[in-house]
Amino acid sequence: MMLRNIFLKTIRDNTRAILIWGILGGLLMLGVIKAYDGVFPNGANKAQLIDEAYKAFNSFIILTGKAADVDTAGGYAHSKYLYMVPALLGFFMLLMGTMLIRGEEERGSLDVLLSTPKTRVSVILQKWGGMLVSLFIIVALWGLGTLGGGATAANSGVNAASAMLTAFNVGITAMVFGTLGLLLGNFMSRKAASSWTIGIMAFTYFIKNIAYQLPTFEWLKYISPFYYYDESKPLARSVGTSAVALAVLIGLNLVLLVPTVVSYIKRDHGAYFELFRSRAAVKSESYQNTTATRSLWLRNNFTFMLGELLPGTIIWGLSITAYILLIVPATDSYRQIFADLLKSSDILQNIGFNVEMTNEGILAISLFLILSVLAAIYAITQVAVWSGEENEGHLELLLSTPKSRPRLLLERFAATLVAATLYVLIQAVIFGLVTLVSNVPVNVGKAAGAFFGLWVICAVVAGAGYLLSAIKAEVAVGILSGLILLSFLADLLSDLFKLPNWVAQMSIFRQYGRPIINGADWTAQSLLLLICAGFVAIATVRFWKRDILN
Amino acid sequence: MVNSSTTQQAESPVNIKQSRYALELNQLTKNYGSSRGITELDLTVEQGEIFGFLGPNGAGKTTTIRLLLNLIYPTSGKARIFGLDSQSDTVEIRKHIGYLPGEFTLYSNLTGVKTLEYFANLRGGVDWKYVQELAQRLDLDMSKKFKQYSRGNKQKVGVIQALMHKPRLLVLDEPTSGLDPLNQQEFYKLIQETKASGSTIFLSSHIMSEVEKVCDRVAIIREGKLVKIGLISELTDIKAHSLEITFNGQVPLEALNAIPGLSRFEVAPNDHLQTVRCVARAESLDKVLKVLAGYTVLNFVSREPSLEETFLDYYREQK
Repeated sequence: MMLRNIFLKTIRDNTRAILIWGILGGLLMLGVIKAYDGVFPNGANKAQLIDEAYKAFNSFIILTGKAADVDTAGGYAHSKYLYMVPALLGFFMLLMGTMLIRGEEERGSLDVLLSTPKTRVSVILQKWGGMLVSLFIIVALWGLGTLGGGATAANSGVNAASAMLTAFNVGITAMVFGTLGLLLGNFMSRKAASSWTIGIMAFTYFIKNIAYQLPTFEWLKYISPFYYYDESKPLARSVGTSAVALAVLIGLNLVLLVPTVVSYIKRDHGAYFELFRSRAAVKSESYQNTTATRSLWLRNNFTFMLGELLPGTIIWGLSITAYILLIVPATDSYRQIFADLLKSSDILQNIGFNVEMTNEGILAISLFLILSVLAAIYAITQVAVWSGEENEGHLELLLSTPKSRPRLLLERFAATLVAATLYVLIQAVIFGLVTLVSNVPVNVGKAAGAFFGLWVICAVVAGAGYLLSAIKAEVAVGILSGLILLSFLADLLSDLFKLPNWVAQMSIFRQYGRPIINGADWTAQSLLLLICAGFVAIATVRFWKRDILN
Repeated sequence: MVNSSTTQQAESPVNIKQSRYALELNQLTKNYGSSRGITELDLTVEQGEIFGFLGPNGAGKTTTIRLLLNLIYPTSGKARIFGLDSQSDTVEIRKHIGYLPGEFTLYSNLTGVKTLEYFANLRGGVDWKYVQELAQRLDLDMSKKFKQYSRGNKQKVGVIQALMHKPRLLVLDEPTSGLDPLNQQEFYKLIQETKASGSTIFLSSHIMSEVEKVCDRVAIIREGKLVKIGLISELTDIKAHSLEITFNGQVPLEALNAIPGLSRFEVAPNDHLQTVRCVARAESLDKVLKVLAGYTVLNFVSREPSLEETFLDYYREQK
């Protein structure tokens, strides 16, 4: 039955993901709502506990957005988990979106599908519809979990309508990134489309939270789907459901769907949609005139890898430069806002942010906290280039050349480090210039240490990625992304949740520390580099000793 | 680096000519757990010969090749190439190997020329004029991006990268797949020229006519085991002849049935004459003629089947 048409087949293909995401998410919601009474037990100090929880949540406002109705199970669930759920589910959806057409095209399986008597419009709409329904089965299970938790907790304030509206809100927000991935897949490779969608998602996520804090940039929140998500908190009674925000999210999906369908039906199968077809693409030289280009990038494995990494590195570097240009000159304007924020929260102080509102202190929160996360995400994209070599079948021929496997891996890793150096240098140089021009003096040594720490993050994440690729290339990027997320949460939330110290110390972000405030911890940085070297050494041996996929 | 001057076959500190064999497989085994790999393969290929490696899909041809290239590691057994160990001397070996995988993908955004330039640089000592000559002979426009190539043109890029450094051993997995007949002929010429220059060719295929056309010796692999090896001409012992005999009267079925090696009888009667069709093993032909001498035979046609038919018959019987 599920093979009756493309729509049902798409849902069938996602069965495992639906079950995993749906059941785990449903159980999580059930557990969170059910456990609420235990978090704030009735007693004399309940009001104080709730007040402290507000302060704690608001300490992470850049990450979490505004907390609301923490004194109810629904509001607590929103503030603790639901703020990030659309981003997590959005990550899964964008991978699904880029896989839906471009992924199948790259695998070669779409050729056969398009040989059946189905129009392209029908193919893409059925697939998009299948993706949508798969997503809504997942969030419906979450809604059921929420409802189940609400039924068992006293005074939860959860009812069927609020549970299902919450699920719908999560789903329609995550769907934006699925549709965006599908759209971008018409213009570039699956890998590139995934990277761009991740970048856009991360940008819109952070920009929304920053806009809440900085009145100068408040207008920026309107470009973020997460802002419209935040406008509805059906489980939090003081916020409720915004029909306008839901309509905007539905509209955004449809607005993205139109160019997705148009660009897909207008382009050649297997090719990219080109608004302006370049002459170079059409021009065909005869083989007699084709001489070796003597390109620097084709000279060896190192230069080749560097050539592959540089475009992404430059785009990432320049995008972050734009963020630096936005944030640094306005440092003075939010000195008071951050001072108030820090005074109201012990937790930011506990995790290393200085109470003194120096330029370094402000930039630690507004810039370097985010740069450290982006450095890790950037490194994941670089690892994807390496693991892609095996996943896409390139190693078969590369390893038929007279180069040893360890040499191939080490040359590629060296190129990754060089690209990371360029990535950090671009940011450091622009940062230095902007602080000079906009008269925001910072301690040069500490700033240099902070940027060196970013490079170390890139190196360690890349090392871990190479190790995971050497063990199992197909799942390396997925596992690495999960580990980075855990690492980030371990750093930020360990104090709030009273996790053992060693858990926080395992986090690369904790090891990065707050160098712009305290200067670099050179012992920790050296240790991280040693760990990175260990990762690469094990990766080399493992890659040397194992079978290559075909 | 890409050289503009003509180069000889790759020089190496190891004298690969000392070894009589280009390939020696000794009890080579690859176990994939529940799925089949190859089992205790023993095989030698002499330098300078074109060796055909035949078998149906899933027989273990590609597994064997990937073991030779050290892309996967044997569960047990050894493979030696020019006397060198396929695992410990893999880099030295690969200086002398040209490899065309059965299925391959390359960098979609690189043009043919850049793809070949990259591999030329990785190999070193490639004469670019020879690359251009190969492209011309195979009619490949190298200025297009890899993703814009048809299946056949992608295969041509693969063929050129395998040949461009004039390797001592060419390992080809289903090499003519996707090539049109004209380019197939050109490819066969290139193979013969490569052989004439003293190189060895190990060609995996399931196209019998191709093997029959170019190979000196053939091995047949089935379910991971070597079932037959010999010269193309020696394979006649597994060859079956299709016979069509017309008698002036009743077909002496009993007499024919008694001859060992005859099978698949088919009698076609008409008013006065009777015709029988059957398949005879090569060693049975003499006996058939002696039995027929006792009857009035009006017509006798013996057709030697292609290797393809032979191969299919052989497998049918084995099953």
